[in-house]
Amino acid sequence: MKLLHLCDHYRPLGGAEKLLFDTLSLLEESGITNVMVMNDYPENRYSGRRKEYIVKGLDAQPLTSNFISYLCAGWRAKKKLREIIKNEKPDLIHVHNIQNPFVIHEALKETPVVRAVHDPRLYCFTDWRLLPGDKKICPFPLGYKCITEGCIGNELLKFSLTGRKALPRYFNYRLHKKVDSIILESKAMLACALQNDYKSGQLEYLPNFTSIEPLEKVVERNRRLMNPGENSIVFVGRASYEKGIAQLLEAVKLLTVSYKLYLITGGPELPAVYGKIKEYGLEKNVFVLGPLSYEETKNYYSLADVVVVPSVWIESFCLVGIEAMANAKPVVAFRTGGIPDWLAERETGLLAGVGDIPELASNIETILSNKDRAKQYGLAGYKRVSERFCKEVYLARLLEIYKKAVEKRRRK
Amino acid sequence: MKVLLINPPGWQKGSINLGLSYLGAALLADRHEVKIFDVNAGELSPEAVAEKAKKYAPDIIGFSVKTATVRPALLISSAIKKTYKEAVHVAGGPHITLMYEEFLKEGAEFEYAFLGESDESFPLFINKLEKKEEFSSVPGLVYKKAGKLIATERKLAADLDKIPFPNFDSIDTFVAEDFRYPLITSRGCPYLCIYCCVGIVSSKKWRGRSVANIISELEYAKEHHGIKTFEILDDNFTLKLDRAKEFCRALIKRKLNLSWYCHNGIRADKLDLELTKLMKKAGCTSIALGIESGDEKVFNSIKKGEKLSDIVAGVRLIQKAGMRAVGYFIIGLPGDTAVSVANTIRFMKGLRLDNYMFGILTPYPGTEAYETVKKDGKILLDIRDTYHFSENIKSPIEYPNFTSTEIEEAYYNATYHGLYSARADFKQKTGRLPEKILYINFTSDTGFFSVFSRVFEMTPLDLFTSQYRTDPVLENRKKYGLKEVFVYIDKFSRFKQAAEFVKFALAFRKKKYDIIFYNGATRRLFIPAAIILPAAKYFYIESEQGKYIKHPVNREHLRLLLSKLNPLKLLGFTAALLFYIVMRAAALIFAAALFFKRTGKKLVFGKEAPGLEDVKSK
Repeated sequence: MKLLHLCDHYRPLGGAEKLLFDTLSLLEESGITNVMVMNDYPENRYSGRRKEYIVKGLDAQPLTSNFISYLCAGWRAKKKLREIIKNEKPDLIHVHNIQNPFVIHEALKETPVVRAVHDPRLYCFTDWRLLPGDKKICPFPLGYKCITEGCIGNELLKFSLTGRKALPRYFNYRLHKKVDSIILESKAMLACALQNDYKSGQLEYLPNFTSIEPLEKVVERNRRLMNPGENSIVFVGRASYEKGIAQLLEAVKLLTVSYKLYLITGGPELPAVYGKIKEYGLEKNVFVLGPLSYEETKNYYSLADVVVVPSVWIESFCLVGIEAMANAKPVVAFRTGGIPDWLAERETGLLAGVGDIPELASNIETILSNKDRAKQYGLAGYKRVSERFCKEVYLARLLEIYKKAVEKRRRK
Repeated sequence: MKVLLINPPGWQKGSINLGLSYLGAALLADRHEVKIFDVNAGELSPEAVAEKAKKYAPDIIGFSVKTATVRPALLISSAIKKTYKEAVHVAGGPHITLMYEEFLKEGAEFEYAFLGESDESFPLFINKLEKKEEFSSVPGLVYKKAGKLIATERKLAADLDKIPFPNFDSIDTFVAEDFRYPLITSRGCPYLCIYCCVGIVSSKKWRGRSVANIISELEYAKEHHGIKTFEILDDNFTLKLDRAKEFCRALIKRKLNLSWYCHNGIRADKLDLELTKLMKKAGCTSIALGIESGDEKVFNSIKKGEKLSDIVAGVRLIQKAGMRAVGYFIIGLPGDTAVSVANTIRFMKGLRLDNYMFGILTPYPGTEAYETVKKDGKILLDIRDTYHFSENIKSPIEYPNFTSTEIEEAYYNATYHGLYSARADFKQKTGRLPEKILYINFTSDTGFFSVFSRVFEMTPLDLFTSQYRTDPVLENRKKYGLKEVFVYIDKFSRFKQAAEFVKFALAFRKKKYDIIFYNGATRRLFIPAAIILPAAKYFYIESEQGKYIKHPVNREHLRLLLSKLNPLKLLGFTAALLFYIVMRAAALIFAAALFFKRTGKKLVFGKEAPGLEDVKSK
C-alpha cells in the first residue's frame, strides 16, 4: 500500500507532529510506503527517510489583504499536488493539519482521503473554540452564534486576518463533508464533529498512542531520577492560553506543601509566564526549561511526582497525558475535551472542573501528600496505556480505517 | 541479486548522482533488484543509513566516491558492516579511478573497486560473483588476491547508444518535482589541459551518442518525469560543432519545449554564431566557459590550446545570441602570482560576464599540474580535505613566490572584488575607513557576515532584519561580528508596514551610517529601500553573499526601483485593489448568510465528558 501524507509542519514541534512521525515509522515497519508532501516552511527539510515533496503554499492562508496572491498560491499548490498524485498514484491520501481548501479539493478528486483532526479549526473560525471575552469553551455549532457571540462578525467587517481566513475555512468545512473518513482522537471531538453536521458514517474514533518501554525499565529510571525529598510537578506543553499554564501557576500559588514546578514549554506566552512567575514570587519554585525533545522530557517525567495537564479548551486528546502514564506517573488535569478518554478518575489521576483552580490545587496537593497513592495511580496509568494506547492497537485500527475508506470510495 | 547503490553526502545539495542512475539502469536491464540511497539529498547519519540498508538486506553495496565524499563513504561503509555483514562492498567513481590504492588501504570494508565507467563491467562482475567465477575477465575491476591488489584493464563503452537510459526511479527518495534532468550526450575529452583529470576518469577518447538516441531520452524523460529543464553535463559538448548543431535542430523540430543550460563548462573556441543562435532557439539559457586565467602567460602555459581572444569572442557570441555567459576561473595554476591574478580580475571585469566563479587549484593525481606543484611548490593538504562547497577556503597548495595565504587572499580579492572596491572607494573619498555600517537583510543568508568581517576587518556591523529569520544569527551576534540588531516585526496591514519602516528609517538617519549594504534578495525591496535610501551616504546592493556589489547613486537606484514597477505589476496592483473591495463585500455577504445558519445542537459539557447523545451510542 502506498500512502500520500499531506502535512503543514514536518519537524518535531508538538503532539500532532510527534504523532505524525510515530505513525509514519509504525506504518513503514508494517511494510507500507509513505510519501510526504509538506508545506514550504523554511524549517521543513528533506529527511531522506522517505520520499518527500516540499510544495509552496500547500497550507496557503490569506495572510495579507492581497486576496489574488492568496488565490494564486492556493491554485499553484493544487496544481502541484495534482502532478504529485499523478506521478505517485497513491492508494490513499492521509491529510494531517492542512487547512487549504484548494488542496483538499484536489485530494478528493480520485483517491480515497482520510483526514486526521487535531484541533477545532475544521468547524471553528477562531483557532481554539474559546469565546471572546471570558474565554470560556464555546458550546455552539458553526453558524449564527459565531456572529452574535462576537467571534467573527467584527473580524469580517474589519476584514482582519481572522476575517480573511473565515472564507477559506468555511469552504474547508464544507469540503470535508465529502472526505471518506475523518479520524477524531477523542469522544469530545466526535461530539464536536457530529454537532457540526458531519455524518456519523464518515467519523472514526482513534485515540493517539505512544511508545511504551518495559515496566521494569520505567520503574528503574523513576527510582534513579526521583528525588524523595522533593515534591516535583511537571508541565509539558505550549506556553499559550488554551494549555492553561497561567491557571497552573495560580494553582501552585495555593499549595501548602513545598514543591518544585518544571515547565517544559515554549511559545507565544512565554514572556507572560516569566512575568507571572515574578509577580507571584515563584522564582525559587518554578523552573522554565524551554522546549525539550521527548527523550529529554522522559527524564523529567521520571523525576515528577505528578504531571499536570491544565488545558482549558476542548483538548482534542493531549498526548502528554498518555506519555506521563507510559512513564508510570499520575496525572492531574481539568475535565475537558479528550482528557477523560485516557484519564480514569481516581484510578490513574484526578480531574477538576475546567478553570476550577482551587480544585486543581487541591488535587495536586492530594497526590503530592500521598506518595503511595501516586505510585498506585502511576502503575494503573502504565497498565491503561499498555492496554489501550499502544502502537499495536493504534496500527490495527488505523489500517482498518484506511481499508474502510478505500472500500467506501470504491463503492462510490 | 539484490544491489544497493549509495551516493554518500558531501556533494552539492540538489544534485543527482547520474553515474549511479546509469548503473541502476544497467543492473535492472540485467534483471537484478536495485535500490539507490541518495544520502546526499537528506540528513541521515551513517547509523541511520546502516539501519535502512539492513532493512533492504542487499547482497552487494556499491558506493559512488568523489574526492569530497571519501570520508562519509568510509563512515557509512563501516557503519553498515557493523550492523549488516552479509553484503559485499564495492567502490567506484572518479576518486577511485584516480586513487584506488590509497582508498582501498584505508577502507578495509571494501572488497572490490571499479575504475572509470562501469555500465557494462559492473553487471558482468555481479554475474561472476553470483556464479562464483574468476574476475580476471571483468574490465576495470580492482580486487584483492593473496594480499595484493589486482587491477584489470579498463574498457571503454564503444557505442554509447547501447547503454540504457539512466534510471532515477530506483532512487528511494527521488521526486520528479522541479527536476533538472542531467543529460550526458558524450563522454571523454581529447584536450591536454594540465589541471584537468577528465582525461583519466572519462578518457581522452571522445565518444558521442547519436542525436536520435539523445532526443528519445529527452522525450522519455518528459513523458515519464514531466521534465521542463535539463542540464548538459558532457566533458566536451561542442567538440563536434556539426553534431551540436544537429542536436539543436532536432530539439527545435521535435518542439519538446524544454529549457536547458551547459554549466559544466564548454570551450570558447568550439562555438560559432550559428551554433549559439541555434542553442538559444532550442531553449538554451546559459553557457559556462572554462576560462581559468585572464593572464596571457599563465593562460598559454596551461595547454588549453585556446587564445584569450577566443574567450572574448566566445562570451560575445553567447551574449549576442541572448544567453547568459558564465565564467569559471582557477587561482593557483602553475605560474600564477598576485600580479597574474590581478590581471585575471581585470580581464574578468572586461568580459562583463553574467556570472563568474573562482576556485583554488586542486591538484588531482595523474594530472600535469599535480607533478608541477609537487616539483616547484608544495601540496599542503590531503586531497580529501580540500574544500568542496564550503565557506572556509583553504589553499591546498603553495609556490615559492605565491604562498598559501597569498593564494587565499587572491581568491577573496577576486571573488569579492566589489566589496574590496567599496571599502577602497570610501577611503579614497573620505580619507578614513568606514566606522558605522548597516546591513539590511531580511533573508536567511549568513555568508555575507564572514566575507564582510574579512574585508572590513574590525568594523562592527549593525543588522536590520525581520522576525522571520530562522538561522542562528540572532542568537550568535558575537560570532557574526554584529553590534546592534534591529528586528522588524511584520504587520499585516500595508499602512502599518510602511509606518514601521518609516520609524526604522528615522532611527537609522540618527545613527548616521557611513555605508548601508542592502541584500538584493530581500523581499519588499521597494518600501524599505525607498525610505532608507536618503539616510545613507554610500548605499550598495549586495547579492550572493557579497559577491555582487552594486553602487547605484540615489537617482539611479530610484530609477532601478521604478523600473520594477512594470505595467504588468501596476495592472496586478490595480486588480488586487479591486479584488480587495470585492472580497470585503463578499465577507459581509458571508456574515449575513452565516447569520441564517441555525442548524446543529448546543454541546452539553457533562461531568464525564462533553458530548452529544449520538456519541454515547457510537
